[in-house]
Amino acid sequence: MQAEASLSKDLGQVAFFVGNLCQEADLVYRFGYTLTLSEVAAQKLLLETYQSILGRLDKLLEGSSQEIRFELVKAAWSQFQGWSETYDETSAEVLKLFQGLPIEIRVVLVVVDALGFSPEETASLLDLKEIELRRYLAEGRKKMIGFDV
Amino acid sequence: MTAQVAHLSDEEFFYAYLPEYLDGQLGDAENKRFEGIAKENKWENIESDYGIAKGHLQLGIQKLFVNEELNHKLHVLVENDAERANHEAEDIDELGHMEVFGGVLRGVVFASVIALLVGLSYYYLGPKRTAAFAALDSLVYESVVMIEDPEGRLDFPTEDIVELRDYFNRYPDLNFRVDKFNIPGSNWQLEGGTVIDYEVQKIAAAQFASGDDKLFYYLFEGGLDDFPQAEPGSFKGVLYQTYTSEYFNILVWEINEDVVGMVIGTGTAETLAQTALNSFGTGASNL
Repeated sequence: MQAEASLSKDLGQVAFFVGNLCQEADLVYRFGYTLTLSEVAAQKLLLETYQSILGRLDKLLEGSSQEIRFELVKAAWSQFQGWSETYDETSAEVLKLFQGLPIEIRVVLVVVDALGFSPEETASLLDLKEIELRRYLAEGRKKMIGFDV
Repeated sequence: MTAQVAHLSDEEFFYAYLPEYLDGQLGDAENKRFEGIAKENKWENIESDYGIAKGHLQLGIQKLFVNEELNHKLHVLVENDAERANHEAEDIDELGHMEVFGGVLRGVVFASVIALLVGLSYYYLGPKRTAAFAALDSLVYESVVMIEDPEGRLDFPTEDIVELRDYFNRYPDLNFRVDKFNIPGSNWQLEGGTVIDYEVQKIAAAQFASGDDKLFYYLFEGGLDDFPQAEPGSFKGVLYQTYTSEYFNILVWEINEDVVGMVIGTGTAETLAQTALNSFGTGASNL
């Protein structure tokens, strides 16, 4: 609450949060769904992620739009690492494809082929060695191409 | 990269570096290896198969988005509704106290500052414009899929343009009427239409054929400024922007101030502009 109260007095940071960071909420939400296969969990992860970055808005303000996107997904990944809860899957068009893929494969596939991060950024974001990332990417693409929609 | 790829099996290397190969980013040795694997496994259509599968994934992901309620919860993290509403009033009130300095010139300056603050506040804190869907990527992909599976994609197959107009005009929440839409030319046969519902946007789509050649129209709320900047063109009063994809040329133009049209086909920009003109004419009430 203290953070919220002080932040609310800084109109510049509020404007940045609403005008820039909230514009990227879909990105974090989609990343959250890919991780959890649950829209409920994706909503929770989104709110926790944005809550977690309130204390470093001044640093985010200095970043480019791609750096901001990177930091948001990284923050979501970091939040997710601390989760122990499980959530029921909720239906989405991509669910059938995702159900056949282990989490590390589907998250790499989505981050690179759907969310537009480079393989190098993705390896850094998920703390993977490049060889690991390439193997996950290969497996994900092979399944995706062979997947009957 | 050479050290990395040496540790990958042929199959892993092939799928892991497929986009880099397609974009011409691999070195000579990797290119040779890639082409050898493709040839050996007879993966001749892998480029289009990958493009279509990736398109499916991207469209599926785009259908997941933050709704208004969740968006509001995010905003409340930094300021509540009352604070948000009060900000403009506080700004104006603060400035109002400074009026003791008076004078016509100063008044003009204050008015400008207030207008700027209100404008900026609205810009940053006001309601968000509905996020535009990625029209170019999404609709080019839809066109590819409609060619592959027209029966599965065309919800309203018909050869009668009057029936199709009626279908669009009766469609719930399309938000615009299509009363003057005509066939693009005597060589084009209407195959049908559909309304694609991306939730953030509804798109009226029509498909025409001339032999093996296909032509697609997409109509939706928006304007040219929703698209990436491109060299503008003009053809008999139709002001347009053009784009290209692997399979098609794309022309977009504003049918009226609320609705944008997109025509996708294999013709040149001028040919596509002519078909747009044939179907919709020019003028303010050409829908």
